[in-house]
Amino acid sequence: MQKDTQKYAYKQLEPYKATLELGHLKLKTLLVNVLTMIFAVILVVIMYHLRVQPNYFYTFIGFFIVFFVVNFALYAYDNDQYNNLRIAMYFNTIALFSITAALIIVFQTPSVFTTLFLSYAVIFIYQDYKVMVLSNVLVFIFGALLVMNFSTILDIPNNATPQVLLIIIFLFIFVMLLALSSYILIKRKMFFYNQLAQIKESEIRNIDILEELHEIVDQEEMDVESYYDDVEAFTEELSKKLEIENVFKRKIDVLRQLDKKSLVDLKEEFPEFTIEDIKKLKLLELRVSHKMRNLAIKASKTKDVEIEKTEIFSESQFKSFNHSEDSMYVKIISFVVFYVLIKRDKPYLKEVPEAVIRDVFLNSKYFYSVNRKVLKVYLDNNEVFDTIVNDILKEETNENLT
Amino acid sequence: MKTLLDRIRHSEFLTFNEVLRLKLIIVTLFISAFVLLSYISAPFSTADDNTFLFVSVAFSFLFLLTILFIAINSNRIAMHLSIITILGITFAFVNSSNYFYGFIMFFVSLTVIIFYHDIVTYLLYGGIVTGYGVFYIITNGSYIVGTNSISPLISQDTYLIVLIGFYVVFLIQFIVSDSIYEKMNNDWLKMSKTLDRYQSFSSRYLSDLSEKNEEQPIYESGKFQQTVNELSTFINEFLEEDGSKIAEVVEYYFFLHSQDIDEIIKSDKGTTLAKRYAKQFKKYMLNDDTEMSSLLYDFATLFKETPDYSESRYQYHLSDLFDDRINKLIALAFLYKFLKNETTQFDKYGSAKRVLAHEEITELFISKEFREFLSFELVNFYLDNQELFREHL
Repeated sequence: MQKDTQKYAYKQLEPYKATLELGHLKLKTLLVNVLTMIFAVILVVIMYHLRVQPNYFYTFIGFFIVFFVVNFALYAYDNDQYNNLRIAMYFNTIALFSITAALIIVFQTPSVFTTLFLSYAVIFIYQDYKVMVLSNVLVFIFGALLVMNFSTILDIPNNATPQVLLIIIFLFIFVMLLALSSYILIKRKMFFYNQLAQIKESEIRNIDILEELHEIVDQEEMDVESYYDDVEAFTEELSKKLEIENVFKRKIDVLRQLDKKSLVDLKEEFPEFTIEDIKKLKLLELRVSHKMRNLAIKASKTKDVEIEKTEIFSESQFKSFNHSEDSMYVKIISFVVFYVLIKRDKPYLKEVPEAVIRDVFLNSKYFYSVNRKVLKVYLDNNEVFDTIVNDILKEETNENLT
Repeated sequence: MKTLLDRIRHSEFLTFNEVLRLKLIIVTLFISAFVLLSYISAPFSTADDNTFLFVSVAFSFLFLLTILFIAINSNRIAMHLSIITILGITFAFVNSSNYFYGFIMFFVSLTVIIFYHDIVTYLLYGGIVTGYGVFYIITNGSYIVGTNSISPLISQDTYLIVLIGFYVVFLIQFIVSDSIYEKMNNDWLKMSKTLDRYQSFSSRYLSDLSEKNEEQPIYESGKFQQTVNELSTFINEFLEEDGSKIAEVVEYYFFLHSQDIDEIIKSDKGTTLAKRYAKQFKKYMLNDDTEMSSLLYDFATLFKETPDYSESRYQYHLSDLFDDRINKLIALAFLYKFLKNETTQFDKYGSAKRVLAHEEITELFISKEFREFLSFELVNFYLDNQELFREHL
């Protein structure tokens, strides 16, 4: 069964996930820089006390200056900050391991060799797939090459035992365990980003459904004009009370005409406002699916939504037709009931064509919501399913729908 | 091995306990390598034969105990045992040799503890390993100072800085990643509960609509029941020899719609099987707000026409949406009027026909939940002018 689970994913997911990640990336970049700064200061102090050759001393200081300047530039440049910080992340990984390798080559002592682990720990903060691969490869390759090519690195007085092979084994175990740990963590992180982005978009779409149903039941649209009239009266009184000029009226006038005129026409009629000002006012529109309406509905439903401290996001929170504790019969019947329901016209969803239903089950998250055996029977025989529904259910054309 | 790799690849779908079990299996495989390595390294050991024998038997015993606890699904205990085993191996390595790899074992045992990604475990066991490592360097550090070292003292200090630094950096990483996940976890849970609330209102509107049009509920439709029955039997024929066995369960599912399902689940009467099915079907009932209705709304969202993502799409705080104070005040006035005039709450009969009173709106505005929408500045403005709000909106 070939599938593309992204085919029916909300189109807003990817850009929002990048926004979510950007916030965390900023924090992680700052942390990596602070930690590198601390270790850089310690290193400079140690090198000063050891009276290291000036050319080495200043070269390392130069390395760190370049490191921080590049980071500062990429962090400060506001245009496309997400990609800038990702570049900073790769740069920091390569730079830190390069500085560490240079340190090991210069000093050639076992104690300095262990700084490889410290660099690894600092880079581990990023929790990113590509950085994980890069840092694991670098720590292993650098570690192995250094101990093999600079045999004096691990020389310890009164110790003739060859240790190179053991160090490589240790490095391998170190890298494998932390790579797996990182992999599992990153997988969960990406999963969280995905779920959070999905539920944010799902909320907006559910509000739309809610409002559409509300208008069907009430058989009338919300009286938006009365909002403008009342808010205008309110702001007039407010201006009098505050003893200021009524600065609200012109904006309310723009609002009244937002859905009737184009931005250019509005700009001509209200020259005191820029196009950007008028665009901002669009957020105050009260029609269904508009920001202010959604905000008000969300606000009306948030009372007493509390999270218990012990509650955790887990598999049990997911809604599906494939709960592990359910019997096979329940898995079959629940799927069938769902299938038959989506075959029917509903106030919030018109009948979905059979080909689309099949495609959704194959190429969306629903692929994982149905028991694999049950889904296989459906995917292999969906035309039979369609025929049965059409033969029995569609006969009752006059029966009303729920 | 293929199953293990598959589970790692799909670890995001596992529960916390399943992830812990997966990690335990991986650690156990690594510890096996170490137990083996401890035997191989025996000829290089400076410890006497009896000590070596004792340590090896102890490791093997702990190792077997870990496997036993994994087998009986006591994963937390198995985790502690596996950590104790690796700590034992580390201390044995460090004490029985002067070699550099003995010191490296401190990093390996820290790595195993980090692998479990549990902050309390890391603080406790990681603290013990790091503390012991510091003690080891202070007392025996001179044995692992390199031949090329310019200053033995600074060499020892370097070991100390790296070990403590390693522990602290990972501790910071734990704190940062835990706080990020906790926030995402809470956001998701809160959103999930809010979503359930929207859906219960949607279901209420649907049921009002159905009543208004005097429609028969779908679960009472003979044609609907027949379709479900035939399709269930059809699927079951591929899975069981006698596919029609499921028909009785389908009938029971529809029968449950006319019963108080909670009563059936709690009741002492009835068979265990009937109660088990009732419990499992509860989330798929069509006469209540259930997982089934939620899945239907969710499915419908896939087909909604929506604009592309914009920065403000998921922002609801007026201060995030508007820089201009006038816009914020107009938005506040709209919000107040909406809450005071639109039917947004369930009434005592369960219908979504109630509006909020001025006092309730005031209570809402000053509540903790509303910090998601209004700044303190706007709330104070509202409180100072609430009579105007009440009178005109």
